[in-house]
Amino acid sequence: MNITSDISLVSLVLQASVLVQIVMGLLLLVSLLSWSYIFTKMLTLGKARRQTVKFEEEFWATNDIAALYQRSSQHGESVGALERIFESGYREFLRHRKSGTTDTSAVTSGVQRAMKATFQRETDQLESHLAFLATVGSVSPYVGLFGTVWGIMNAFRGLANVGQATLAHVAPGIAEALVATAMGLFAAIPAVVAYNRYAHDTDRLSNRFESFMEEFSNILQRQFKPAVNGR
Amino acid sequence: MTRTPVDVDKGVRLWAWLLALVVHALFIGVLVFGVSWQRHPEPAPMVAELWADIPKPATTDKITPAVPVPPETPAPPPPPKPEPAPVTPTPPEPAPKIAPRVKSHEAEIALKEKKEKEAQEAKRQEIQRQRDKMLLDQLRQERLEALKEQRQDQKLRVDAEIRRRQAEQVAQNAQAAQAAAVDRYKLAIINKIRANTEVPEGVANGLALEVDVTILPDGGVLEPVRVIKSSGDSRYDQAVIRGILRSQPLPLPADVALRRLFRLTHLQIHHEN
Repeated sequence: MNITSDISLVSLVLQASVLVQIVMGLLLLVSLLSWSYIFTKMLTLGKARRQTVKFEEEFWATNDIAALYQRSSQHGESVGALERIFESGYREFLRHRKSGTTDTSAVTSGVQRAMKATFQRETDQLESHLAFLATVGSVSPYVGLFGTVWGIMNAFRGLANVGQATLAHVAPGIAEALVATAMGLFAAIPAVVAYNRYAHDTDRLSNRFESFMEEFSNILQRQFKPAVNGR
Repeated sequence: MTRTPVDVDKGVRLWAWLLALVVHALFIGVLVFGVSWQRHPEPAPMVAELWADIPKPATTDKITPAVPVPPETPAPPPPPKPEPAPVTPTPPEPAPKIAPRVKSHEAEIALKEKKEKEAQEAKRQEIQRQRDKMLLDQLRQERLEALKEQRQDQKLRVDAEIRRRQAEQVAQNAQAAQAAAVDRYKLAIINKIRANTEVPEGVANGLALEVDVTILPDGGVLEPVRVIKSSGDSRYDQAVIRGILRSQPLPLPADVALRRLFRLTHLQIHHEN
């Protein structure tokens, strides 16, 4: 092995064996992906939280749920997750009222089912890509380690051909191999942290959604009774 | 008909990718420049003790401005240069005049050397003195400025403190007003509930029931009413809950911000005859 006094990172990576290079490339790609997901989730979850808080405030401040429904259904795409749940529940409620049903429990369960469906879609959307982050967090250290072990194996095999072995013969090989581990850890650590953080955030959001659904279906039930009695 | 959740929009995704690239650029930068990958040839030790033994005015003058910390001392250094020059050359002049007549050539040389040495010594001392003076002046100036700054800082801090206290006072007042309003409406709610509660006979005096009521913006009550602390008499508890449901709509403040505080209201209802 040619021992140069200059072992810059670039030359280290370029001189590495093909398999180690593949491992490094894979890790870089995975790391890029996971970081992009981390930032995507950060932005979308933050937005979802803000929208939820805003809608809850609006909802509890207003007397007129029908007006709120009108407004949010006109807003189109810009509404938050909680608002969509509210919309689907209220739409179902209106449908029942139009059809003239007098069965309160049927209305309530229908509304709850409609909201549940939207709720599941929303939480699914919130949780998307979290599995990828978890996988990266648990697997990429091993991939990096594999690259390192392979690189060190090569470095020692090169040592066998040299009569008088010094540390200088293996040092570049080991350094090059360790770059793979560094990359694996660099991909894994943020992914694990982000996964835990975002899992917690989505849990809290969906808890909020669920308690809102309970309260909202209660409110609709109350609204339905006077309408029926009035007839 | 049902609206599906919007997929992540393009702007967010673009931003995320940009930020991810920035993070990686940082990481690679740290790897390349943070770890010293080059094996440097051992650099020869460099010792710089240059001017101490060579008291030539030229070199000392060059060094003096570098040693003190002068951001605004380019003006002072010039004086030492011209001053020593006119003063020092004069003493040697009379010496040679007297010396050749009285003393031998060697003595003359010795005297000359001595004189020169003295002159140089004087020059050096002069320079030293001037430098000290300059340093002292600078120090004094700096201390003055620091004091001034300190005073200014203190003033600013006091001002900020006063402003903060005033803001706190205002906030406290607002809070107190809000709390008073909340208490007023709570009392009104409890009174209405009491009026609507038919206490069964035989309930002991002084029973207290604590409930959490979810109150809608229109004054309606969401069922179920949660009992936080039972009074101990289930007949009384039931009667009060019936009373709560019968007193709908509960009196609520017209102010939206205030009304929001009643979303989950904790009520304590006593029984008094």
